[in-house]
Amino acid sequence: MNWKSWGISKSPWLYHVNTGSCNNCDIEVVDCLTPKFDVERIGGKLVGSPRHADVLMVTGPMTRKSKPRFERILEASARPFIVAAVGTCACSKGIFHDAYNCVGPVRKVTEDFDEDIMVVNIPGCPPRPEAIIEGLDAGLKALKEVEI
Amino acid sequence: MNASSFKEELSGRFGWKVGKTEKSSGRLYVNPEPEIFEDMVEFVFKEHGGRLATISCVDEEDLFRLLYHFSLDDRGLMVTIKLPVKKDGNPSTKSIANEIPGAEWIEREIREMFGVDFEGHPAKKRLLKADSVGDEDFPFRKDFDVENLEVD
Amino acid sequence: MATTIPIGPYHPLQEEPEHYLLTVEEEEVLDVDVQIGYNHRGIEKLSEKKTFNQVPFVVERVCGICSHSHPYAYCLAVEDCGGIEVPEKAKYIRTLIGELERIHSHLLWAGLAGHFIGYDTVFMWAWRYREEVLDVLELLTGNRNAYAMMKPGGVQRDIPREHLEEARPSLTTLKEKSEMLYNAVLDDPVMKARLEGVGVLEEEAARDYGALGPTVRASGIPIDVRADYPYGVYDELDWKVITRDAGDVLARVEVRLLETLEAIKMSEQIIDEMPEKGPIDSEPENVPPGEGIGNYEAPRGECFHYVGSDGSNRPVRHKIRAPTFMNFPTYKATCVGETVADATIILASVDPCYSCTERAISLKGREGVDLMELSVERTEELKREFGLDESPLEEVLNE
Repeated sequence: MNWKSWGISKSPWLYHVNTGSCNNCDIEVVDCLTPKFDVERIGGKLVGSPRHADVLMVTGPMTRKSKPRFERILEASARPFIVAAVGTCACSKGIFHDAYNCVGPVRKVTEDFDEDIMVVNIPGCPPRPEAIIEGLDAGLKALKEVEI
Repeated sequence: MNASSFKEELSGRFGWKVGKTEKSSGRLYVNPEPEIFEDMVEFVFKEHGGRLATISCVDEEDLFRLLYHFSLDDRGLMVTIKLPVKKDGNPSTKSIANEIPGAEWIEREIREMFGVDFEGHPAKKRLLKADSVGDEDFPFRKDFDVENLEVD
Repeated sequence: MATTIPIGPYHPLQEEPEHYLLTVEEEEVLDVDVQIGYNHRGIEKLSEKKTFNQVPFVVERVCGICSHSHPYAYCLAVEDCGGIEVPEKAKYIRTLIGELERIHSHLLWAGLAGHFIGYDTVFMWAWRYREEVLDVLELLTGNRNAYAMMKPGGVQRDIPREHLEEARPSLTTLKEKSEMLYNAVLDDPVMKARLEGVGVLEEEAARDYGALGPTVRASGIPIDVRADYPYGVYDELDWKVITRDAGDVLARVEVRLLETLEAIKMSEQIIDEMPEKGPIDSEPENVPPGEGIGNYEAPRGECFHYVGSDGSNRPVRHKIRAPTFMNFPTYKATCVGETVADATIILASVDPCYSCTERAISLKGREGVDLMELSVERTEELKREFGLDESPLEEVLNE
């Protein structure tokens, strides 16, 4: 770990990407900001552009139309960053594993794009906000071990 | 029963051309002669204040059947008008989107998913289908090969 | 001349800062175009591979906010097709979950609407009280969002009486807080100035587009599937259909807040009247060949399912039409002619559930103005005109 990776692991800025999810996971991600769970106490906040993001919160089983846009976001994001695949659909396509229009899961698409991107899988349908915060925490701890 | 009384009104206006009907509580299915289809739609939508709930398309082996579901809310009756569309060549029928704006998106979706053309539709373009699925690929047809669809 | 709208970073459906294609001249919107298709997962095709009892689990995930509506409409369609009876206790349980979901959905929308106008206090406050409803739902069904309670012929699990009694205090708190929010919204002059007369949907346009739910009840048309095609136990409860005549965004806000109060009232009645004992599942053996239609009043309007059966254990055709599919195109009638600053709130007032429409918004345009910012600026301007630092609504909620 060096001082750069230590710095990134504090106060993560989150950017939310929806690749075709049913919105259950998206609501739980936004719920993390609300008074009961309050991710702002660990410094997390939602930003409006991938260029400012430390963590990409990705939900959804990656529909065909979303894939090229997601790849553009991966290109645009400021290095280093981690991808948090929130929800069962993002981790493994879940109930949509045999749907014709879903080409995920998220880690397959990021691996094809760039093998070095770290993906944290947070399963659940939807995962509770507590689980999302725990997953984020685990991902950031893992990021601390990386040399940047 | 309100399904019976509405069937009487339809027969009163269209006679034998109303065709075969099936009814149950709150539901009436009508198979009219195709030539009176537009007049029947006008009868239900304009004269009786029916609300277009949606249009379903069923892929039966030798033809497509379009089901126009109209809801008569004040009577609690769902009237479904069935229209067969031949499959061979270029399956097509006349659009109702110019009279009923709510049908515009519904017809666009049926066109791209089943391949039924709607003549006179104001905006024939894709609604949901991904660009990587071709213009001649119709995912909701029974014979669509899901397993071998390419991923790019 | 195109302008851009990002539907705010807090919108749970935002993909990326992409935009509607608005054609604008000066401050006025001339035309709106939208491109969709990002949430299309082909669920209707997926249903054909599953058995009748497996489909409710797939269909629950059409949309997270209406995750009880779609399975309920599907079960009504299968029961219509097969003439399947549902036991009394199951009807009560189904209706209770439906009404609790309505409270959840309307409070969620109230929060988002507040955020789009720049009242972040309303957003945080509404979502905080939404947690009460989610806790009740978790107590009764085991999950906050996808409840897995429905099956054709009844419900999957019973609800013990102790849990129902535990839910009562939460409903009382919710009633107080919702009434407070409703009164505070109506008293606030800035809210009125922002929302009154904006985005009016005329009655005739509403009928032509086949619009549904609170969107159309706010334009004076009293259609409500719970009253027109009674299902569940609605014909045994004491409730009324809420309408308003103005057709503007303020009317839609009022209709939704009043429906929340009505839903709380209904939930309390259901807890009082639910039978103690009784079967919860009629255990149908098979679905005979035929077809069935099920419609259900989801928080956004009528949810319509059509199921075709050929006597086997899988559906031959499953057509899903979610309410937003009919409500959304009304933007042509409500947005054109309005100012750019109001565009965000008008589009949001329909309560679009993009994933219900099995699609999400892809908005494209060029760099330029951020419409969310314009909307917030307009509210700040109005506050200055009224000589207020904090609006009366925010004062009430901050107490």
